[in-house]
Amino acid sequence: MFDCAGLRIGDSRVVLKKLLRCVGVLSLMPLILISCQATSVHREEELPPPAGIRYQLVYIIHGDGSYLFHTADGESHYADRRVLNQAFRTAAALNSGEVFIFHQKPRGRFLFFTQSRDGKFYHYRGGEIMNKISYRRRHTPSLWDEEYAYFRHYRADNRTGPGTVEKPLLIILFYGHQVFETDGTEYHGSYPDEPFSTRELADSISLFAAPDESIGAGCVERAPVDLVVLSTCMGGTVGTLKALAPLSHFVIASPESLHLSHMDMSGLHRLEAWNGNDLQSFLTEVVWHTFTELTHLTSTVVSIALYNTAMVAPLLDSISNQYDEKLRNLELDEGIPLEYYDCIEDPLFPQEYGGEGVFILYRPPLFGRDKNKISHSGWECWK
Amino acid sequence: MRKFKIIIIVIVALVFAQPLIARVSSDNIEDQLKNYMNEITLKVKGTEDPIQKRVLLDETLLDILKAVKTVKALPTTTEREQKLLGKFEESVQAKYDELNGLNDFERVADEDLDSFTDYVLQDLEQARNYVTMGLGVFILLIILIILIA
Repeated sequence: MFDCAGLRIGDSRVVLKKLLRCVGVLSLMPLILISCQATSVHREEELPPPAGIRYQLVYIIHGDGSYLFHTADGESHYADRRVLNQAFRTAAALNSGEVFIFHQKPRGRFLFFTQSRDGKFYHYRGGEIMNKISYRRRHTPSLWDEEYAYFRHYRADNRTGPGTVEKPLLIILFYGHQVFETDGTEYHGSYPDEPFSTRELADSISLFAAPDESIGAGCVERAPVDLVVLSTCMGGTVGTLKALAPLSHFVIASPESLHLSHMDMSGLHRLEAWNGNDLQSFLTEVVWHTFTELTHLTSTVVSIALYNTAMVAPLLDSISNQYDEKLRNLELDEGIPLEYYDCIEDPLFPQEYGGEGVFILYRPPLFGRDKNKISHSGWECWK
Repeated sequence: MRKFKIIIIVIVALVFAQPLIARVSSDNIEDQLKNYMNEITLKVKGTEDPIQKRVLLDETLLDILKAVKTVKALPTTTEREQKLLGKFEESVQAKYDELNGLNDFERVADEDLDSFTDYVLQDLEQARNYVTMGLGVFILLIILIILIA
C-alpha cells in the first residue's frame, strides 16, 4: 500500500504525499493500539448467576513507585507484580466471589502523542476472569474515582435490581508504601504533587462505604466495608485507625514497618469454606497465615494486627484530642514525623488499656535495638 | 535517501525509548541502590571466611555513612532533607555498631553474619517510609554515585 523506504527524491509532490501518508499512519498507531486495550473475556450471559456472589474483594495495588525487593537467594521481585499474581490466584480460587483488581502503574508516554494508561483493571467472577481493562487514573491519581466507577459498573449485585440480593461481604485491600497522616505529597512516582495521605485514603474507601442505593429507594443507611486491609508501613497509627474506623467493621494493618513482600492475604481463599458466621474468628485465622508467611521470609520486624473498629472506638475517642494536638505540634515543626514508637511506651497513653479490640501478632526484628522487645500494643505513635 | 532513512529510524527509536528514559530519572535510582545492596549481600553470603564477610559488611556500611555525610554537607541539601538523612544515618550507624559490638550492642556472631546481611538489605527494602520517601531523586542519585565510584 505504501512504502516509506521507497521514496525517491525527484518528484517532490510524490515525496510529500508519501511522507504525509507515513505521518498519518504513525499518528493512527496509538489509536489502533489503545483500542485493543479493553478486553471483555466473557459475554454477560456466560457470567455466573449474581445471586451466588457471597463476597467481593477489591484490590488496589499501588505500583507507581519503587517496589523492588530481593529474596534471600538474591532474586529480584517487584512487590506490586508479586501481589498482583497473589491476587490472581486468590481470585481464581473464589468460586462464590467477585474480585476487582486494580493495578496502579507508573505513567508513561506512548509515541509522544498520548500518555499511556496508568491503571489496569481485572475483573473476576466465580473464579473466572471476566474483564481486563486498561484505564487512566491521571485525572484523579489520589482518589479512587475511576476504580469505584468500574466496581460500580461491573459488580454483580448492581445488576439484580433493588432489594433482590443479599449484600455480599465487601473487603478492600490496599497495597502500597506508608500513607502519611499529614503531608502526602511524593506518594505517586508519576504524580509527586498529588497528595495521598490518610485523608485521601479514607475518602477513597468511603466511596465504597457510601449509602447503598441497591438496598432500596430512600435508604440512607451507610453500608460500611466489612474489612480494610492496609498493607503498608505504619498502618496501625492512632490517626490512621481514626480515619478508617468509621468506614469498616474490621481493619488489618501493620503498626510497625512492613517488608515489601507485603501481607500475603491468600488466606482469604478460605472464604469458600467459611460458613458466614463469626467474621472476627475467620479473620484471626487469616492474620495467622499472613504472619507466618512474613516471618518465614524476613528478618525485620513483623507486626500484623486485626482491629475490631467498634471495640477500639472508646480508646480512639479517649486519646483523640491529645493525639491531634501532638500532630499539630509536629506539623508546626516542619511536619516531619521522624520517629515512631509503640504507644504503650507513652505515659499519656491509657495505661489501663488491655488491648481491647486488637488482636496482634508480633515478631521482633532478629537484629537491632528492638530484638528483645516481646510484644506490641498494636498502636503506633509519633514523636 | 540514506539520510532520510536514518532520520526515520532515529525518530522511531527515540519514540519507543522515551518512556524508558523518563522512568530512569525517578524510581529506578532507588532500585539501583537496592540492587547495589543486593550485590553486597550476595558477595557476603558467597564468602566462606567470616573475617572476609565482616570486612565486606564493615566497608559497605562505612561507605554508605560516608556518602550520606557528604550529601548532608552539600549546600543544595535542604533542612528537611538533612533531617531525613540524619535519620537514615542513625539507622546505618546502628547496624555498623551492632556488627562490631559498639555502643551497647552485642557483637553479631560469626555464624549470624549471613542473616545479618539479609536484615540490612531487608531493612533498606521495607515498604518505602518516612525517611526514603522524603529524599529527592537528586539526593539518592548522589548517594548512588558515591557508593559505586
